[in-house]
Amino acid sequence: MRKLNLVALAIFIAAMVWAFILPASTTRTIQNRVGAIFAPFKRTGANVQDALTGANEETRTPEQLRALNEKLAIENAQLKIYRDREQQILTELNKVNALLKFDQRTELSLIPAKIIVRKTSAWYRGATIDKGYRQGVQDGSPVILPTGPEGRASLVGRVARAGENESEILFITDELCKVAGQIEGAKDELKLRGMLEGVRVSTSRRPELRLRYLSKDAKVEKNRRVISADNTNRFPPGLTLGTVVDFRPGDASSEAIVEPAVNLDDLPYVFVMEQKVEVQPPPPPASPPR
Amino acid sequence: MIFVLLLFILMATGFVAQDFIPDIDWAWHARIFAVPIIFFACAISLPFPVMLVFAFATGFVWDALNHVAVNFPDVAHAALELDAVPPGPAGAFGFSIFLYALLGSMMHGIRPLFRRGRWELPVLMTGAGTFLLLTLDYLFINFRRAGFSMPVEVWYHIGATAVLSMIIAPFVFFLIDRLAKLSGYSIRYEGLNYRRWTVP
Repeated sequence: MRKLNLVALAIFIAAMVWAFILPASTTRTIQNRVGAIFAPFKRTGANVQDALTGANEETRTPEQLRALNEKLAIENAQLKIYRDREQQILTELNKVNALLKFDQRTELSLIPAKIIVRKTSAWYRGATIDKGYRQGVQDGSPVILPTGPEGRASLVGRVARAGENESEILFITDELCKVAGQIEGAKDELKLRGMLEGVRVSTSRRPELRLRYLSKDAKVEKNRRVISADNTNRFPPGLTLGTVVDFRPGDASSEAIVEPAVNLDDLPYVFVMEQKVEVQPPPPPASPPR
Repeated sequence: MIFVLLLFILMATGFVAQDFIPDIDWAWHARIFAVPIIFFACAISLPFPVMLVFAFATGFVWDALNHVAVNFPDVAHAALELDAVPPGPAGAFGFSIFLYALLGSMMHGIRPLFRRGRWELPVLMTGAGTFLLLTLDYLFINFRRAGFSMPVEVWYHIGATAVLSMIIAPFVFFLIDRLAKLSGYSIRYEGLNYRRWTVP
């Protein structure tokens, strides 16, 4: 081997070791910066794709649009009333929390986002959305979409990395995107609580999920709804995750096969739940005796 | 020098294009991996030290764009509650650099054929390289997540991706050949230096 090749190899190995031992915060900064460089291309490409496929072309008549606008205006007015009512309840709840001396309270708001590009990696299922930490997106924030006739909030995935103006989300069908879940309306909640996760590899467009670590005594019927369960105040409970399609009892623990609630192939937009965790100030120290 | 610069531009274009190449439903969700194909073609046409620079740059940018590191505190807490296995890490940042250097060195060995205009073996090697790249990447993910899962779909997916790479490879080789001619670059092969040992 030539001397120059050996020197090059030594320098390469040193550089590779440097990359391996980079701290997580540095790799995140690098990822955000490199992502920002490629961001304009992603956005332009997405616009070109939309133009080529005609995804944004309007096919409705002015009359249809007018009728839709009227319907949406009424719905919007209704929602404003509900929102005010919810705000009142939240205020009351926070007062109760303060009385019970809970340390934290959580306020939720939604950030609408558009999916720019679907993740191209071979082993991960995710996408890039057009909102980042500047718009309030945080790492781990749930990404939801209303589904079904009731318009229930259903989990699409979670934010894996929030960049400056765009973020990477992991779909619920990815093995890494785990969520604590439980069977809705279960009498014995602890028995029917488990960890929902995707499969590592699936060629299905809508791969099934597994609700693992259910109690070995658990029994779950088909078509039961699975919702998120969390008591750490870090993830909103009650989000629809899917519906049970099969149940497999086991010796140590049981698992339910779950069909995801959201069709991930058809995501025109999503909502990122912004979690504002407000830490209550510690109680003032007792005044010293005089 | 101009040729190397052109290849860097080609590689950057590959990264941009990669985001817009969809997967193919009927081929087990295989997709054309533009970046590895371009890298393998570059590895054949460049000297070893420059190939290493390319391997570092490609692997670094690939990981910067695709590496997923998740940290969900609620999941770790829930795992403790459920007596479940806490979620493992996704992968290591920089692992792609190692993979690209390893496979680039393999491709580098067939430079003489490429130089003589024989593209059959380089095309096959591009397929083999893509196959190995995905297989090693998947095995590493399994290793990091502490559980080996090798469904047959994985092999179909990897195999189909490798075949797609072989189909695209001649076009990339042709493009690089054109670029070399345009920039006046000749693909040289230094070969291995054999030292004749004589009994003193």
